[in-house]
Amino acid sequence: MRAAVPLGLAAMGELVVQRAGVINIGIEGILAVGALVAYVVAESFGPGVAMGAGAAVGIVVSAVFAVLVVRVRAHQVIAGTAIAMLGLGLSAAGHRLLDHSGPAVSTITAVDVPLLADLPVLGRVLFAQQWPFYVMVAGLGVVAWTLRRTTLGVVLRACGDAPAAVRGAGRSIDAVRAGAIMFGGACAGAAGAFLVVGQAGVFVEGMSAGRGFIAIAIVALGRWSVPGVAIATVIFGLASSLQFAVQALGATVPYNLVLGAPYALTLLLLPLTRGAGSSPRVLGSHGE
Amino acid sequence: MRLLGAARYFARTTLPAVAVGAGLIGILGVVIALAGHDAGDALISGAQAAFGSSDALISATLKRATPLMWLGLAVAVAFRAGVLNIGAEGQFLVGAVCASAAGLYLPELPGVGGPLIVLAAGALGGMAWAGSAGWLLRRHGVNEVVSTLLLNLLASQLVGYLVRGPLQEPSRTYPQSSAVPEYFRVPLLLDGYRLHAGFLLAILAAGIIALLTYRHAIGFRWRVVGLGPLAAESAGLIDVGATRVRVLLLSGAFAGIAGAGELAGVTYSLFEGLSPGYGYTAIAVALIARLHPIGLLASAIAFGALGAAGDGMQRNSGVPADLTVVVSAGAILAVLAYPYVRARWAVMNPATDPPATDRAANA
Amino acid sequence: MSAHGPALELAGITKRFGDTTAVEGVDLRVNFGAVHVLLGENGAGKTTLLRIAAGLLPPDEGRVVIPLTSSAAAAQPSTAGATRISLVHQHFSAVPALTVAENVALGRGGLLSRFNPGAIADELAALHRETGLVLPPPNTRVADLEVAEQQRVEIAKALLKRPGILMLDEPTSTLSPDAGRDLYRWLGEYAAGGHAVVVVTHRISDALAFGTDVTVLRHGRVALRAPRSATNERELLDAMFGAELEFAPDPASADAAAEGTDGRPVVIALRGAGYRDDRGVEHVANATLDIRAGEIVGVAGIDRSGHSALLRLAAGRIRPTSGSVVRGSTVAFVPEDRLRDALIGELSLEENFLLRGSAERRGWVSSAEGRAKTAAAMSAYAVRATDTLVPAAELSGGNQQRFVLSRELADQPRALVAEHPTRGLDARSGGFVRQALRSMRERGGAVLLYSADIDELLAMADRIVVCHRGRVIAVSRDRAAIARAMAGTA
Repeated sequence: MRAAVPLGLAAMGELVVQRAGVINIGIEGILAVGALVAYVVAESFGPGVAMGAGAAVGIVVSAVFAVLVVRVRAHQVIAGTAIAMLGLGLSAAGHRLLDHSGPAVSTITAVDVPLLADLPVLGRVLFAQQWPFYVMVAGLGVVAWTLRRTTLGVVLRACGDAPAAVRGAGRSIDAVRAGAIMFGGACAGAAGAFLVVGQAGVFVEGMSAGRGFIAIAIVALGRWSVPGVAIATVIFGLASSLQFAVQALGATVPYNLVLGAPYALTLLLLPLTRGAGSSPRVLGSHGE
Repeated sequence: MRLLGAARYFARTTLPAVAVGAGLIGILGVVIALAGHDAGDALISGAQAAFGSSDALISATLKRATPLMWLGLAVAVAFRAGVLNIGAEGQFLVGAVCASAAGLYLPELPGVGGPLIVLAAGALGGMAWAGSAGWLLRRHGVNEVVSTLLLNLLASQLVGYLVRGPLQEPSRTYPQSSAVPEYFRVPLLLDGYRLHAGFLLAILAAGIIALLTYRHAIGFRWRVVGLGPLAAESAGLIDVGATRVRVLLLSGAFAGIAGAGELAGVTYSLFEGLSPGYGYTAIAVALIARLHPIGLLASAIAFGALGAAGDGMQRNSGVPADLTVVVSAGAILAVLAYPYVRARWAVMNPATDPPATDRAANA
Repeated sequence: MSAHGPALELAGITKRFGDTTAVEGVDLRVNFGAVHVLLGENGAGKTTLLRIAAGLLPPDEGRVVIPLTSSAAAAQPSTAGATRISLVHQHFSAVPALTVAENVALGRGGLLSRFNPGAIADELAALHRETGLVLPPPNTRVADLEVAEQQRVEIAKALLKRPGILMLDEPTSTLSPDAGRDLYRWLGEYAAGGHAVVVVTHRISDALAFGTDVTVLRHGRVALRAPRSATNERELLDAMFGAELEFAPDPASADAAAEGTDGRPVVIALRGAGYRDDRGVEHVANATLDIRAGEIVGVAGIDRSGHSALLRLAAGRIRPTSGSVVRGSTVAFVPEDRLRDALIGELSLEENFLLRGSAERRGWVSSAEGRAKTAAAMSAYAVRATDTLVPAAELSGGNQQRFVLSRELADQPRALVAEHPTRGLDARSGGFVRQALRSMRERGGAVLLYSADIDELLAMADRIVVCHRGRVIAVSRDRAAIARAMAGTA
């Protein structure tokens, strides 16, 4: 489950972004920047503040993306690629410039939910986790509720399906999309922060390891629905945990093949989900 | 009129690229200074590493520009036809893998050029990798952006596995393959410099692609499929899906050749860090040149110089080379923002920029 | 609210777009309790006037006065539009993927307010009780609704703003005749309840059957203004078309109809042709139709009746999934959506000209040859552009359509399929297009023509078939018979 948290956070944000009709493949870079900032902040202020700092820097970086695609109407995939490069480059260069090969920072400890944690099997899996896990689960619930039961959710979904109608209703697509993009940025930044303060305790160059891209695949696999994304996240979380299991067992399966398995799995699964559920109709376009 | 048009075209396309480049070098200097290094020193050492000597120019800048030319072509032909191939990186790696395997396992055939065999193997590898994304797109409607991104990740794990497994050098000490034999190596162009024949081949390929794009029926189809797929289908009776898959295969072949050239012309052996993100930098290379095959040769050299300068700065001033990735990203962002800024500028200064349609740039 | 007082007054309204004057010096007075029909052919300036009245477009000259709201504020079109008038657009603005209730919520409330489907359902039920407007269940997706139901959703959205004045732009253009009749009956009741209704249409029959007041626009000016009781069909026809009666019966087509075209060679033959798209939706079933040399076959059909797929089957733009379509040669095709299906806006006219036949072309493209051919075709069809290098998007709609025709007919094809080729064109361009189709027939070409305008079909076609739910039915050249077949009551 620990491996699922960063994927779930990033995918949750990207889900909201894509429902608004925008694809942001730059979250890979935002994850990396979030991780570095969290590492620096955690040393002085502890892991909790570091998670917040990761989210904050995620908002800042995604704001650049928002300006480009919403205001300038730049091509979303190309702008996203640039943001991914920017984030990866900045985090790697920043890490060297700050000369921060310092010690490991303390990580977030798991919290047992009273009583529930003692349930057999599921108790440990669901109720003995670090707090960002609970935030993620609650966040998915809030996102689902917001999409279904608030005017904001209705407008957001309309932005992804028929932007002209949103404009016709006298609302600003730009504001909604920009907000969604920055929410997605906050989620990705927090996901990056969790890689450091929830898992590794240190920053390593390239530690985002394609998780931003995987999050995009999760959203597609989950057919742009909250339950679908939750299920896909669990599958990927399990696949990632498998790496550790394989290593622990000392099995002879080559390390790289285990690392590559989730990517191959996604490629094989994507065709199967075609037609089920619905993708936002204007995903990737400005919806003119 | 024609001459004036050409001059205006130059002013519209080349000048902004130059301005963007100058601006980015300025920003780079500021960032270096902010990080506590001497920006002047760092930039000078960078410039020396890129242009300071014939060795720097040829063995560093042009050597680095070579794969960027091929990859830039790969990105440009794909984007031109509306195929968002973000997977040049993965196709490059698989091209290198196939070149390495061909060089290590194929027998030497007298009378047949070894380098041609290796480059062909790389092209096939890149095509196969791109082709799987094409198959997913055509048969299953899987968005090529998602599939090519995943294929990039998969390719880098594949290389990691191969250099520790089937392709590892016999002593099994290092995570890399043996060097390909002399027979299969792409010849160097000049004695004492590390620039291989792939450089000239890239220029040749760019010329052919430019002619095809702007003068040939095949390239006409690429352009209309990219600009107006529905009209291409309905008015031109073009099979848009099939055209896009063919373009994706061609794009993959170019990227594969880039990887094969790097392996058989520069490193000779396969290892994990073979590409310092060339496939992503190539997107900047192609976009700055507005997807123009000849223009991207120049921008590939500029980015080759940037890479060489980055290495030089890291060596001499301790400035991280990763900053060049930031500069590449900044270049893409600047190109994306440019039309908007220009339109704003025209609104604010109506007299300075008479409204005229930018036909040449769209053609 | 007085039952018969003035609800809206327009005085001396003029609006220009570039060089063309869309509306000139128009006065209009709409009363409460009335269904005011604004009649005119395509391009007469009806929609422009409506948008000005609704406050969506500022006039260049003249005033919009809404007497019930006081003085100054009312003269400000923007505030007027926001509060007093609701406009139902010709093209639906509902989001297909959302439910009816969600579409209602889209139009109002703060972003952070709760979306409560139950409350909206109650409100729609109340609206139904109040106005008699029959609405689909609030939790159905709009995509799953019939066209007429979708339109009632649009009207409900407009009515929920409690407007004094309800305006509808061509509300029956996509409806079956029955649904159109129901709609007008409801509008009449709604107006009688003390509201004002303005309907824009090009159908004289609608004005005569359901209007209380009629204003006819021609070339942007008022050609006739009268209560329904004081006018008749002849007068309205004269006012709409003036001396240059557009749809004068065509002697050639009358001849052809008299002679019969049976002996002429078949150019396009559909034999039990059917088409299902990749999601399995059936668009055309078992269609058999011959299109012969020297005739124009007209196709009528309401929205989504399958006519679009039928035309594309005949033109060879899609392949039949059952049965067969035999064509003698490549068929020229003029699709309805020019800038999406026929032209590439960013490319020059020259390049757009080369688009035709580009799948088959081999070898190098000669730009000199392309330029000469393009220029020749353009001058033959009076396409106005500074040169052949102008991007297609910069041409006016009429010029674009003439350019498409010039390209499609350049190499004298034996067959042409045209999908509502006069849509959105001004009278002159429309006449030009009709003339081009007629001369194609006189040359011995085979033409398949779809038009949403039955009068146009009657004026142009030698025989007429109707599409209804994917079936192709041959009908006589008779207005009532066509209307019945379109509605499926034949």
